[in-house]
Amino acid sequence: MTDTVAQPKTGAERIAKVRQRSVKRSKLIVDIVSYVILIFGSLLMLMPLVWMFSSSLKVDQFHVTGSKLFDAWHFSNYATIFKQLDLVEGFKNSVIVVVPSVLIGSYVSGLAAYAFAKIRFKFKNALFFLLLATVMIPFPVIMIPQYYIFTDLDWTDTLLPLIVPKVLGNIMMIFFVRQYLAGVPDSIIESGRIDGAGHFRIFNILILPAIMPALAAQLILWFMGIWNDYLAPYMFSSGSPTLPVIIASLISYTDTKSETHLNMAASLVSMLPILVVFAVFQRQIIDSVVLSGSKE
Amino acid sequence: MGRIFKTNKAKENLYGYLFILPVFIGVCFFVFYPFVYSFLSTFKNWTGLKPLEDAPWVQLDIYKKVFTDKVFWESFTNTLITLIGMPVGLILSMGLALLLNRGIRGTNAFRVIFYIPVVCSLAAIVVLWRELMSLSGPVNDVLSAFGIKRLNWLGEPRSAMAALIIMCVWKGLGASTLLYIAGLSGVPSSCIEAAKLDGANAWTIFWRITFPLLMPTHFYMLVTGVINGMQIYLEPKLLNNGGPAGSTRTLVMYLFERFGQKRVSEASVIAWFTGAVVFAVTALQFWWNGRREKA
Repeated sequence: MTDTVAQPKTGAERIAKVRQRSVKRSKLIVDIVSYVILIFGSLLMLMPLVWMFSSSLKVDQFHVTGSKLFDAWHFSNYATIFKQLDLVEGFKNSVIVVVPSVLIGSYVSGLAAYAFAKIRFKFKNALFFLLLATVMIPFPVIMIPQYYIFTDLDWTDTLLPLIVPKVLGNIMMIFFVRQYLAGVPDSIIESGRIDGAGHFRIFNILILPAIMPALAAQLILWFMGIWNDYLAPYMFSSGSPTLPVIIASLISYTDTKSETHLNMAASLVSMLPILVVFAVFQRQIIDSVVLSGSKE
Repeated sequence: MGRIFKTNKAKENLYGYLFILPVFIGVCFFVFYPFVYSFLSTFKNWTGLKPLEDAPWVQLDIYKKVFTDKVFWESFTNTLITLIGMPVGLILSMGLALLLNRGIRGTNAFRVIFYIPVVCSLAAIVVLWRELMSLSGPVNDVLSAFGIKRLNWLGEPRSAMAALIIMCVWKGLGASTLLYIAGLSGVPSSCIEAAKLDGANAWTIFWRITFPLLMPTHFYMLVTGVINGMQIYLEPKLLNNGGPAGSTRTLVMYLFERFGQKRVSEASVIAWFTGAVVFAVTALQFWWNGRREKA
């Protein structure tokens, strides 16, 4: 490169140059090895899903195995599964659960986070730690009594057991938004106070826009968690199945002649909404996972 | 701000309590109350068919029953075996994170690809893996291409456990990789530069600098791994219904079986046993965090 322009004069300079070049070469080798490993890993991640798509297009279940990828294109399978399964109903139920849960739940969590971060009231810290301590309680310990609560309320045929606990707020969200609010200056609140606004107005007009990035990041993660959840819908709302419950009902441990091609099509359709959400918000999702990870 | 706020202390208190009221209503009804209820039910013989108040007190009989139950200990052992996936996943994800932390092109694309299985619903993933692992399925196709005999993955106890662990590692890899990337961002590059100037090679830098500085991440991953791993239920339940012959039946799965058989008190004892392990591990985490902050 620059060798022809300025020859290194001393031996030390020459050694430095050689070492630099060997560092460069070894970096190139490491880069290549990295790519080989990462591409191999990516294939391991993606191939099952590609196979799933390919299988969903086969003519029948007997052509799913022992055949090449994408040798048939029976898109009519997708029409069949919509006739055979109540996917639309499941989708509707999932939406009815997830939309009010994350929207109202996030607003309510934001309010609580604001109170814990900026309002002075008695026993504030004690109450906050009490709240945080409940996160340690494993779900198996409380799920059986929860089941009886929902049975006594006669809610098990409805979606209420999935919605009501969530619209009352999410503790991890309160935790993260409260931390975020520590970085929001008190002067914002003071300016609202001087204009004569109460805490409700201050929260709605001044705080909500300020915490939106943190709230939105947590909201997307929460959305994915609720959308994919199987255990609570299966246990508490069996009368109104959500999408994962309908998909899980395809699994049979006794029947070996299941219609694999249709099962693959149905599972793929059920994953589409979340894959679209992920495709659109991938940067925010990944950043918020990384961020909440580095907070630990 | 203090002066303006202090003028109306009562009002401040009111607003504070008002804003946290919903979440406390939720916690009281759906956490505290079930928590106490569940605890009391372990000392009673409760079938769940009539109110808990009407069930007879039996002191520690249910505990004795559960702790002398062979299936309970088998389920516990199975649960511990599923934890093997954790170190495997940690090593793989740390390796991936190191590769993705070198600033090469396409880093973001790889992060997205590895995260795709994480966002997919478990139900759909299990439907897929049951087919992947079938006797004539693609996993066996690949194995037989390398001259390895086709395995009845889900039909044999050992391979069923292996299939379960492989599926869990596959699905969770992207998530733990992201956490390691987060951990690596906390490793100061000045340390690594300094070591390089001293002539340390990549191996030494990793073992002497990167790995020890990642200790908070390792610890966090181990603790959450044990906490989640102890409660593993859906994966073995959906993949193989705990079979064959109960070889992948986990503690929480056994809990559900007892619950279904209306032996609710036994189910509660199993839940509290699981909870005790989780509490212990969480306490360990708090102790360790406290020690780290002091140091």
